Amino acid sequence: MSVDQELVLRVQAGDKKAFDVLIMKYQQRIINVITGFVHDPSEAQDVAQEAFIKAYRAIPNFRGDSAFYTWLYRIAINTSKNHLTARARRPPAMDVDAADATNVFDAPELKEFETPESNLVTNELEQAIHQAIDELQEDTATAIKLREFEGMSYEEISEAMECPIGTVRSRIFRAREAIEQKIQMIMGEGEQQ
Amino acid sequence: MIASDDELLSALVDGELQDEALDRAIALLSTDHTARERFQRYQLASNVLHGQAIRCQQGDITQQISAAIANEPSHSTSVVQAAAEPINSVATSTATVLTLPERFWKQTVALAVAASFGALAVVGTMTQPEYIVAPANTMAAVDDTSAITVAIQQPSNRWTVTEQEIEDRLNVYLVDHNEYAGASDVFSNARVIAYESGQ
Repeated sequence: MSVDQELVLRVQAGDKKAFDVLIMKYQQRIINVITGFVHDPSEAQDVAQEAFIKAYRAIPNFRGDSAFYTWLYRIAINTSKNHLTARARRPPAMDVDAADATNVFDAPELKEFETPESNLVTNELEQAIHQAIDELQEDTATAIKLREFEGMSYEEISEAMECPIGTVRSRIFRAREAIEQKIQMIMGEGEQQ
Repeated sequence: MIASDDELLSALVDGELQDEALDRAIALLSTDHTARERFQRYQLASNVLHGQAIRCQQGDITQQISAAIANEPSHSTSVVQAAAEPINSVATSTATVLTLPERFWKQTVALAVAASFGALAVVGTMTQPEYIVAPANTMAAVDDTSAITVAIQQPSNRWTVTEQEIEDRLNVYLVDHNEYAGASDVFSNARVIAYESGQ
């Protein structure tokens, strides 16, 4: 059972903290998707909140036929369209495929709504993250690349690198620490600057 | 065993936690604001590495949503059991729906089947060509010896041949091929009509 499934079951059992974890895990992606529709960042956050609240109310009916994110993604799209319709604004003349939710994180059609500023931040982050990975020790860099670029599980990585799963977990964590420091610098939240 | 809390969060980003480790992570994220922020940055890095653009500076909306759903009723345990066994839950809910009107459905299905057969019989009889009904009469006539006699005695049904030689050959042909007589209705009738008595 995946972590998402486990968290959903806990929410269905009445554990609201488990839902907080799902929010933390997916809020960035959901806000990104919604920003593609409503453009205004603060408005997008409001719509995202509405989408998550709808998801919480509907979660007893979620049976796990699709991935949790796919289900949440559909709710976010519908909430965005309803939001625009309610404000007498026309939703984008496109239909976003739910398959995009799992394949490429968000729909390619939404990329047209990216702004120069958002592209700048994204490029800056990408460069910083890749630079951080380049500076890692070889084993650590390999572990994070296999995880993030190849999508391999810890077990698969441990087989590929011929080391225990605990070592894989530690290497990936060390890589994330290094990456996180770079992100903190870029996002202006650097406690270590 | 996961050494540090941060390592726990990193594993959570990768979906590699189960049971007690997941409990620990949930508890940590619900109590430790720093852990929350670190988890968000781990998640952001993962998203960017997966090619997702950052469209805006994003704040954490978790607390707003938590506050909003704080007044919502927690989902009940019964819901959890249903979710834990989705297939069983479907079966249960289906059974619940069907239990109440079961008698109604049985009666309706039985009535529908009976009506279908009735309609089929009526339509079948009405569309039956007469020549199919006729063999029943013929068979009755076959059983009735006097009827056969009458049929044979009617000259119009008899293929009469003036030359004796040809008639003999025809009768021999019919006798030789008698084994095929039952192959079709035509031969069957031909035998009854044309077979010369005494051969």
